[in-house]
Amino acid sequence: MIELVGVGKTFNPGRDNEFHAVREVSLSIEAGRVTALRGPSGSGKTTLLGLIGGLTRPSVGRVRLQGRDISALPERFLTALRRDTFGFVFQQFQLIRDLSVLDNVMLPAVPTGRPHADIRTRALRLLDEVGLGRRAAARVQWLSGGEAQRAAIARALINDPPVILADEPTAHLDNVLSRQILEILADLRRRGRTLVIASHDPLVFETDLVERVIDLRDGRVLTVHDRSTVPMDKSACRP
Amino acid sequence: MIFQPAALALLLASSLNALGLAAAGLFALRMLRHWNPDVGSEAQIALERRTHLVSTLVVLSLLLSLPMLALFTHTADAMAPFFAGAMCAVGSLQANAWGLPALWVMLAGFFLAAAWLVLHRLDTRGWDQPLLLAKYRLLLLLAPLALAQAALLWLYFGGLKAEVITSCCGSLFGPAATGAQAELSALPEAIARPLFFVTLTPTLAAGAVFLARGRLGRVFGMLAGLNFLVALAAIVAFFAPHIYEQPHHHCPFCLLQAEHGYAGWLLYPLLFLGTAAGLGAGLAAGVRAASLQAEAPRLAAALARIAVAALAAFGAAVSFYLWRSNLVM
Repeated sequence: MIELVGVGKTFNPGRDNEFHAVREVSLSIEAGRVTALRGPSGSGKTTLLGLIGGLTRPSVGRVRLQGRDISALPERFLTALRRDTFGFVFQQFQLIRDLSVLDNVMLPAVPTGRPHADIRTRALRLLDEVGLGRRAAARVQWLSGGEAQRAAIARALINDPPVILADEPTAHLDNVLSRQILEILADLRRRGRTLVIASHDPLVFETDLVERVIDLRDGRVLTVHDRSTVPMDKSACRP
Repeated sequence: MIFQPAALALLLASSLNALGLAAAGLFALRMLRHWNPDVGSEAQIALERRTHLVSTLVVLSLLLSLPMLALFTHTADAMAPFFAGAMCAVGSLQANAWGLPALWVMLAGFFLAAAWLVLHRLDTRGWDQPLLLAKYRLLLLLAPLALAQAALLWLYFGGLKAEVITSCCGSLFGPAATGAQAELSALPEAIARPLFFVTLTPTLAAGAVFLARGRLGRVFGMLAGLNFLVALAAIVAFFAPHIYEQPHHHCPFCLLQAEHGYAGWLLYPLLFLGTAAGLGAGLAAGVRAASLQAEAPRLAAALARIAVAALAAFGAAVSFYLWRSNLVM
């Protein structure tokens, strides 16, 4: 479904502070499965997630979605593709302060032009599904970490994208809240969505959620484990 | 040099236009040599990114250049009183050797710029940018033209001297004149008049068929181009004398003056707009890229509507002036 061919990302190329965040990554991500990008801080997980989701353009290589090259797409098409295909869950939640939870969830659907009432109904349903129905009118700064992450997941689902990209979804949460989030993600997998999770939280890899693990270090792919054939190496999770 | 605000504006605008298009032309050369979308190399990705920047630069340059034709004609007309013997823009343009060539180059630049803008508009609507290479090939024509235009304008305005005795339009379009424009002046009305309407009518009909049934788009584009040439010939051959009500006054530039009711400022914008939109409609109708299957016909239809409206208004205005004229030739 998603294929990366010789992808690299260099920040500040040609300058003193040139930094190669991702180098020569070639891999494919299958539809309907949960793939985890694992590695210490600075290993390139977030950048790779951005490259997969079209948030960042590669400095070299190609990213293909269902055979179509998306790395060279003009911005207008890339924006539409991001909106329709990918739901993003960010490490820092990226909810907009002073807006209600409901408004935050509805926001990515506004540019689609769908009727406001339809968007609102879907947003309320999604908030119910993640257990935040009662908090719909609350401002996002009043939410706890777990609630904020669940609101972010509801927001990622508002446009019904087939692919969810989650960057350290359990990073700021205790074990109980982390398990809640992982249960929500497992439910999304059961409903046929493709999940790509960047994480170095051992809890993520202890569950049955992850089917495939891609270990990264210094922007390169070290190993690719398939859960059914290769046991998890939890030591690789430590930063 | 004669320091006129409009002349200075033209020099500035044409220089900016030439600079922008020269830079874009150099990029186009590099791009056409190294372009390979099958490869995700660093160089290819850098080219892909820069195409967006260069295209924006070209759009701005061309939008700046489109009104220059009207401003140049107006400036030449307004400068006529500075030169002994000049009665209209023709006298000013003949005040040195560079005026008329500048006008021809500007004319060609106008239609090429319009064509490029149509291609660009379509190209940015296709996810795979199917017209990218065609667009950049056309830039290789536009860039030298913009440089030539700027050079000619600098030579023309820089070389103008107020004491020069120049020729009036009668020397170009009068009975004693020689050359293509003199041949046009001598074209009998009995031929030119039916030819004008016989060209305009099928052009409008092709446009109407295209709008109604989506067919004959390219034919409409070609007829719009042909109609432009015939209309210019008709203006010189029979239409101008009817406006002036003088059988030997064939100048197409005196139409721009107040004593003739600024007829040219009504007719020429309609003709140029109709022709540019008609050519653009033909161009868009001929695009067969899969990613533009919906967008190309939509843009072609929008342009055809503009072209048909402008050319119909042009035909109506010509008919009105002919009906009002007291001249019998």
